[in-house]
Amino acid sequence: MIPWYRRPAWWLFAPAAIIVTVYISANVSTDQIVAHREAAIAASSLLLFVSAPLAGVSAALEAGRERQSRGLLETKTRSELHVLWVRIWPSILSSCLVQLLAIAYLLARAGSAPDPVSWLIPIALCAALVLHSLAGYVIGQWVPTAMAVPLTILLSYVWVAFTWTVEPTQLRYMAGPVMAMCCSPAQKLDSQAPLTLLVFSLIMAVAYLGVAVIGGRRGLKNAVSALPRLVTSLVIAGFAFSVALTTGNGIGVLPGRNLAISELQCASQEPTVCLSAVQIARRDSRDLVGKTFAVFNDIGLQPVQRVEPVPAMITGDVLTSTGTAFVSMKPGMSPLEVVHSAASTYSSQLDRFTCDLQNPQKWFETRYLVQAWLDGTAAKRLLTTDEQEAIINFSLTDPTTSEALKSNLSVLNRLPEHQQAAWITSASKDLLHCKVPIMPGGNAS
Amino acid sequence: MKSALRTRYFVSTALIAIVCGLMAGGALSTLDVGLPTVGIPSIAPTIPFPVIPALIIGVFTHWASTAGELPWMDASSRNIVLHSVAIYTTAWFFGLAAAAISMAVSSENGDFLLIIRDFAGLALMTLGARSLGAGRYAGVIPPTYVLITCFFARSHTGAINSWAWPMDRDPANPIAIITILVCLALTLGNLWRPTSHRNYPWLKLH
Repeated sequence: MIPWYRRPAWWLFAPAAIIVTVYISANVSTDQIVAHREAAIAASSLLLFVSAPLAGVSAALEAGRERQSRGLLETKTRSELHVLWVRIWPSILSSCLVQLLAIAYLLARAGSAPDPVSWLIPIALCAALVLHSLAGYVIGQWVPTAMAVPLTILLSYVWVAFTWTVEPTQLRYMAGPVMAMCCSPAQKLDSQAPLTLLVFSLIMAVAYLGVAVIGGRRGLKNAVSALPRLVTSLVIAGFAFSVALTTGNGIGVLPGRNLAISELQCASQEPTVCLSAVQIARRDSRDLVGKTFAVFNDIGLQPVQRVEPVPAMITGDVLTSTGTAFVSMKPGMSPLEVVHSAASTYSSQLDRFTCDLQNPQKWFETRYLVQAWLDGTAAKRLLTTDEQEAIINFSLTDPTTSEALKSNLSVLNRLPEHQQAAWITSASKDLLHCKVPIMPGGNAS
Repeated sequence: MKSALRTRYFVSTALIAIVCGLMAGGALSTLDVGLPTVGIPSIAPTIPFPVIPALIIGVFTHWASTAGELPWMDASSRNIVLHSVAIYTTAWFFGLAAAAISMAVSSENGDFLLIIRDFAGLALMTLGARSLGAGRYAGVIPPTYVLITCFFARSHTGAINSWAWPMDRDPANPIAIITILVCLALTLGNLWRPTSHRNYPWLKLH
């Protein structure tokens, strides 16, 4: 029995836990995971940058010690598998604890959430750590410890970080951290993503196990048994890649899947507003979203009958001709942000132009004027006086143009309401065709 | 001396040092290697290329120069540690000379002071860690430090934190200079201590 204080995995646990905690505090935005357990757990996959080197390095150190502890005339009494298990279980356990600590901290930052805990992701991440431990052990068996440790860190980092940008995309899911791109509040993780990581890690771990039981250079003395083991390991590694390529087929660049309509919660009002449970977890804004669109319906802008969450990587219209508006909503948005987000649907539709802009600066100025009018008009009916002032400043953030835009906005607001709506409708058409409309006061700018 | 050179793999060490020097001073010296996926998502950190050969030379040279040592040699009256450090430093100079030649030949507009800083900073960090009792694991300290700087180099404003000097292309980064001076003092202090005091059993990790 090796005493715990001679185990590098336990010594490295504390610094790894500190790095993980500091990294999450400094670099992971709460906005991205609030009220969304699945997003929080998936975000922890980025922390493989810390837990995987911990697993690999401590296993490499154990392998080096195992090699050095053997006497020249020592006879084998325990199998290589038994020795390996005794050596690497603290590496696996310690790195898994670091990963679980990261998950717990992220869940705490996410707060209460309506979605259940997704167990497949932590299981897949722990399987990946088994793989990194075995890889570290094999490196430690073959390379002197002083070089095995930095080599393990380097290989771990290269595998975890650089696969993110390579093709085929399944390779990204075999490494794991790409799952951190999951998910917006109206999405859930594609279960194929953690499944690919799990399947690849477990099968590949068996391949590494085959190499590990050769026993390093010393095992090569018995080359007759080493060669078949090596060949078997290579075959298993090939099998691991093939299975993972099949399992991960069709996931795409991002691991999130948009929720189906049946998974949304719809409010019975006119227009019908459907949002996900996560989007309404902190404050149910469906009523305010519905009222915002009702304001514009009453004024006479393009009618909206149904509101849904905007799908990720949307390529079509955000305001369809069939009367569906796609809005971007996060949990816990203030009333001002909700109104701005809903009103932005009309101006976001303008960004879908396909022609060349004749005067880009004027085009964008006019676009922001339209945005400011939409915000102001909805705010006048739905928000407090302070919020009405704030939302205009929110829209006109560019200090170089805000004065001119404010002046045009006040001219527009002095017109009768039906003329305001008519100008916005015609200006929107012009903007969508890349033209700069005549300003409300009649001048060209 | 001949024996010291042989037990410390000096030929391999010198060759690695020269190759690393040529890499650091060559056409890639001005390259910034992007580090995807770490740090704040909007601004990925980049690492100046000379840091990578500086790490390789540091890890390999430390392993080679200490591979033949045994724990009792720390307290040997023949000051075997000094021999290892001398070989380590010679290899480091070989690398630096190769970098200078490579830079002159490739006429690359790189910064030689930056290469000196990276080579000296990371090499002395290893020796400084060794002086504090890290033993043969001292070679792990520079890669670990660089890895941590990769995670936390940038502040939320996008600026590079001054402590993350390997990420900073300014050769006069004050933290880098302080690191070099402190590690140099630790190394010299360790070499010139009475041999009976050179061993730090309470700090030994192995």
